[in-house]
Amino acid sequence: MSTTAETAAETAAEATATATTIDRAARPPRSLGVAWVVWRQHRTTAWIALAVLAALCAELLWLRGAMTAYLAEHGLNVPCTQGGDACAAHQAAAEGFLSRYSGLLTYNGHVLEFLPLLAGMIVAGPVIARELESGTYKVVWTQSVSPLRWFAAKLALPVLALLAGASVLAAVYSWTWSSARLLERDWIVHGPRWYETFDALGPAPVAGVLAGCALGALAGLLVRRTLPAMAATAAACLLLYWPLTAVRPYLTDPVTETVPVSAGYPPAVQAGDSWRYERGMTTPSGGRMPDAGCAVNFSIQRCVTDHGATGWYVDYHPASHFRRLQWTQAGIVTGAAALLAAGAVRRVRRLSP
Amino acid sequence: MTGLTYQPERTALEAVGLGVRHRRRWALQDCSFRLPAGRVCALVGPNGAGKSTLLSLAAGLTRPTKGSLTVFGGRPGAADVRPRVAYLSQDKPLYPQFTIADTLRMGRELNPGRWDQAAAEATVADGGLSSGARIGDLSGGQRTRVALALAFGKRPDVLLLDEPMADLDPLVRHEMTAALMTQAAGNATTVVIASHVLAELDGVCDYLLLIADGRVRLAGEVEDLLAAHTVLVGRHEGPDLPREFAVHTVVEARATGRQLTALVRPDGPVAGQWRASEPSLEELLLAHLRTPGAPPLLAPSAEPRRFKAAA
Amino acid sequence: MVEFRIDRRSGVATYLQIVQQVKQALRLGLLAPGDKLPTAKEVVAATAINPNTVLKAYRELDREGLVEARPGLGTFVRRSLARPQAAAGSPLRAELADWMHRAREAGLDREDVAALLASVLEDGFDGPAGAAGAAGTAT
Repeated sequence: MSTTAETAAETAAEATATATTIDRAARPPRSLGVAWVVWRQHRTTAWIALAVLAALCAELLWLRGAMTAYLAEHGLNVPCTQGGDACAAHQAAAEGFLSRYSGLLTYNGHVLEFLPLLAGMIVAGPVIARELESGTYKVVWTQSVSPLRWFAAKLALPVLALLAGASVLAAVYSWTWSSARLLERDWIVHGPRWYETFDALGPAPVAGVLAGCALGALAGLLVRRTLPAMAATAAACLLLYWPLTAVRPYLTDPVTETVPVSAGYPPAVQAGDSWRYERGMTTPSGGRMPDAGCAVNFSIQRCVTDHGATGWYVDYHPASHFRRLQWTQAGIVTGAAALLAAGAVRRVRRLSP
Repeated sequence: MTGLTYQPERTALEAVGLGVRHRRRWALQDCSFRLPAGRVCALVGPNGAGKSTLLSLAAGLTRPTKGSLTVFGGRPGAADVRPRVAYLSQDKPLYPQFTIADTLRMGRELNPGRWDQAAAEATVADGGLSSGARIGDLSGGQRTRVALALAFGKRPDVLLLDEPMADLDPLVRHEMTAALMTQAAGNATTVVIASHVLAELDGVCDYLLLIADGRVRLAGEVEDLLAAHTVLVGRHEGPDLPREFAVHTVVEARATGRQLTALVRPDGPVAGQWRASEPSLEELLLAHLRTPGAPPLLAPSAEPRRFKAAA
Repeated sequence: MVEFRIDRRSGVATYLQIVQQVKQALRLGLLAPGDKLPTAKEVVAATAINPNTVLKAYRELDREGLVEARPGLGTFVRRSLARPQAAAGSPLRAELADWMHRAREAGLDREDVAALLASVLEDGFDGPAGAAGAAGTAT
């Protein structure tokens, strides 16, 4: 006898029955695997992020339009050559421009500067730590896909989306910012200059988002709780930002200009948009004495005589160094992202047998 | 004549010298046992005995500190083992923002080539749940049903359930047990149910694994284990056990006035005036849980094969 | 078709309860030769017991020659246990009813009668004659 055979036959019959009904009905949608689960989980966040991105882009484009219109209207695209009253009006218009738009541009820059931190917090909290905290990872890990594949998809989708968003936003911001830079040709040398809004321009925010995501993934895996993981990511982001800004001037060789001590303080450097990041005195031994070496209440002259200064020096990066600095920093940040991501992958391997 | 769903020669789970340490404490220690395929096994033990740890190991969510646990001869969590195992953890986590339909779609997406949508949908529909309902709005029992549907849809060869019925009312518990048994009957699925509610296991399980303090205390067919024990009731006075008990293994002996009630593993006939009866499953388990010092008992079918080969 | 009622508190092994209930159904004529028993899956779906238990009970019935499994079709009743001697209008039953009437008139209550019947039953089927009778039932 075989009652098992009988039940098996029944099951087989049922299976064929369902198979045919499936064939007849609409074919099931194509299999997307873990990607579908990740999309379903975060689609609300994704739509909101897309709306915010669209709003920011629209605002930046409006800003660009308004700025170029203002510059054209007040003839600020060309330097003032007549002199006298005309130039005074020119200067007043330029100041009006700055008071109206420079702040807006700076705030928009801040949004981009904080993008890596925001991306890191999203990845750390809602994407990774929440799964570990609520235990939902157990459901996914005990299906047929490996934890590593799950983790790869879980990270890849949000990271690609964030990178795409950051790229678009950075491109639009750079474009808008460059329209205000027209002023730099003139003697008007204010507003967010390239070294002031460095982290919002070109590849910097994109590389930063990549590193932020990797950091967030690692923090999420280590902390395993949503809010603490987000806080830890924010703290680590700010902590890592420090050495990065400190080391930035030395990423490429600066231009050094020296003048004899008789020239007076401070030495004038011609180009208005150069990044003068350090200046001070040269000592007879050939050493350097940065400005900071002078006590606050000392007169410059006393400082000069005290140290027997022989001249002044200034280290600076001309605007032509901008791209080299940008790409070097982006390279370093991407390297850091790779290290952090490797750490995260190691952590997933350790968590899953 | 054959016909039972279990296949005594095939091994579903096998542990050899298994140990798991959480921080300083050993959650499981020196566990060796074997579970033949096709069985419905009760995993019993007090809270904190290591039941959840054992299931989580078999599901491939944690790794052993010492020894090994294999599922169908493979490492839990390996690419060829993972698709064959379904696991329902105690808290039954599911994505609260998903609808039931989403959750089943997830099962299909994550189990390519294996998923049985009809089985999963039937399990959900039997509970009168609409597929558009959000998981977050469901009651505990309804969530358990969806979690079971997800497990059934995977058509697993081993189904690991950690306290599956704890939050169900009696009617739903009966329905879910029936659904579970139907699955086991239809697909010869090996089922492991961890529980400390003995009532939900009686009549359902034909295999037993009792663990306490991280060690295996009893393992084997329920019938064999029951048959290996006898409850003896008789008249006896004095602090020591009766002399005729010396040749047998006494699991537990309790004196009430002049009456002595003992659960023993007899080794041959019992001498003296004793009324003997077969214990109920509950008596057997309670006696072993009350007496942690009693020697463990593994039925021959529950002894690991690899262990013998290695020894 | 029969429906099984499983009493988990009875102390009787579950598979034996199924065996006894099938036999009872055969005695009462609820099941006749050629009838199909419910499949293990159907029993399990209704009673929430272990499928191996159902299969074990059917195997037991098969061994006693009461049912037979036809692979791919199901398990079918081979032979009935219904006896005309025990049917509603039979002389044996009438005699017993008469006896019961007298027992009540003699002042015995329900429990007295049950004890008396059990005792006589024990005497009647426990000797060599009883064993032969039991063997006769199983052929």
